Amino acid sequence: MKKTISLDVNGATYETAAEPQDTLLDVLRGNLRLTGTKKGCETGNCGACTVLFDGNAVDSCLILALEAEGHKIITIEGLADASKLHPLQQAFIKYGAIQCGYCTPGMLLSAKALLDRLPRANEEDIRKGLEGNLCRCTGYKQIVEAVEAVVRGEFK
Amino acid sequence: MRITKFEYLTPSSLEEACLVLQQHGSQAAVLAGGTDLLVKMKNPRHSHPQYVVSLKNIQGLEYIRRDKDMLRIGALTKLDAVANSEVIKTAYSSLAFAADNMATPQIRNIGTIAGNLCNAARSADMAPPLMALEALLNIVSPQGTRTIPVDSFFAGQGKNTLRSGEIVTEVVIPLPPARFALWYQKFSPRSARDIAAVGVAVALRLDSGGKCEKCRIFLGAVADTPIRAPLSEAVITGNKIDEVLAAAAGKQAVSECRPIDDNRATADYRRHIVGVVTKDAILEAYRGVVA
Ligand SMILES: Cc1cc2nc3c(=O)[nH]c(=O)nc-3n(C[C@H](O)[C@H](O)[C@H](O)COP(=O)(O)OP(=O)(O)OC[C@H]3O[C@@H](n4cnc5c(N)ncnc54)[C@H](O)[C@@H]3O)c2cc1C
Ligand code: FES
Ligand code: FES
Repeated sequence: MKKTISLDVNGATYETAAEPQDTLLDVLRGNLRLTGTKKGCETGNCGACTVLFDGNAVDSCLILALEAEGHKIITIEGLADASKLHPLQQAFIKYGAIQCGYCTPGMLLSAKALLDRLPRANEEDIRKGLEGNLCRCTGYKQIVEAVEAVVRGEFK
Repeated sequence: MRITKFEYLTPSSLEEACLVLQQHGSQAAVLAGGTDLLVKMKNPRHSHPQYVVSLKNIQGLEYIRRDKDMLRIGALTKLDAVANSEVIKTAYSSLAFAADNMATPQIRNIGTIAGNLCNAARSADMAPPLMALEALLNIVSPQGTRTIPVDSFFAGQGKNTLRSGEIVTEVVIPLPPARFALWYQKFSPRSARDIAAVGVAVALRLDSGGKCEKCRIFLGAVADTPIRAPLSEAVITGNKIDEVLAAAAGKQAVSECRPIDDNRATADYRRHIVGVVTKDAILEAYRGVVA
């Protein structure tokens, strides 16, 4: 049976109807049309569906939408501010950390969660922090370099 | 990937949660983080609960604290919190390290310590170290509360010894006595953070002369449940630990495990690895005490 829920996404409140079996990923993409969050494996392995949940990176494919009520959710659509891209987004572009782009939204949000915790993250921290995000294109090198550039303060 | 329909229940107290669980018996499942439960519910080969009892509205199940000579961890404490807790790092850095090397950051931010045990996978990474530490589980039900050792909680692959209406509320770990150390070592052929092909926990206490006074060794992923290795423990106990003795204990552990073939490793390979990892874990635990 559908239930009306209220979700706090990117600072806005959305009222929407969800079934108990709908995942947060289903509702973000299907109901709210926030399709920047990608659907990959749906079993917690690839990280394409990563969103921030009270500031922490989580796989939205493994959270029921009804469980997300009362939590602050940030999706890729909420990363940039109105006038400019987030430093991580600028760095990903500049360092060629995006090829097909499918992993990019999740990769960026995991990187943000990591740097919010560890602003001075080194290469090892970055690799560990991005371990839950698979990329079949880049080989990860450019992604790590982009995050390192943000740590160095190259992008504002 | 669709999840079969179910009824979602959000009791606001433990009493209420236990009652609905008991009422629906085997048709109900507790939802903690859901990182095991939802993966199963997406798999058509698994049987699916008709009632999912979410613990999200139950307050006070997420904490880590020292209480006299015990460490108390609430059932809903996230793996990430276990990994980063100063209290846990101080008492048992190897337990924090085990949590930090499970799964992925995203899963550690959702998955809980009790969920890992209740799911009862043979490879559950929290199980061997908690068993070696003689940790206990506090359990509530409509009939009251009971306490059982983690090492008698597993009943088979994917099966625990909870009865209908029971919920795990707390993991309790004794604080380390003098000259004591824990080491957990996980081996996976893909990467350190993958599901364990073999996991070995060793808890050692030395006497004032430097000999092993007591030792508990538990093997993960190499039998239906995590298992104790008493013959291997006997090799060590009462003796001065060195490479040769640790290798002999490793050899004993090989004889005690009952591994299976799966897509991560063959049974033969697992047996070989049990010997190597047990030896290493004993030496690391020993260094942990003498260092
Ligand atoms: C990609 C991926 C990687 C993983 N890697 C690892 C790994 O490296 N090592 C590892 O050990 N595990 C791993 N896991 C498994 C899982 O993440 C952990 O076991 C986690 O700790 C489960 O906790 P949860 O809160 O999500 O459990 P849930 O899925 O909520 O629950 C698991 C089971 O326990 C029951 N349950 C939960 N809490 C209670 C309670 N308090 N009382 C009674 N019953 C309860 C539920 O009904 C369910 O049957 C991985 C999972 C995924 C998806
Ligand atoms: S789609 Fe969620 S982790 Fe792959
Ligand atoms: S850029 Fe294609 S998957 Fe990462």
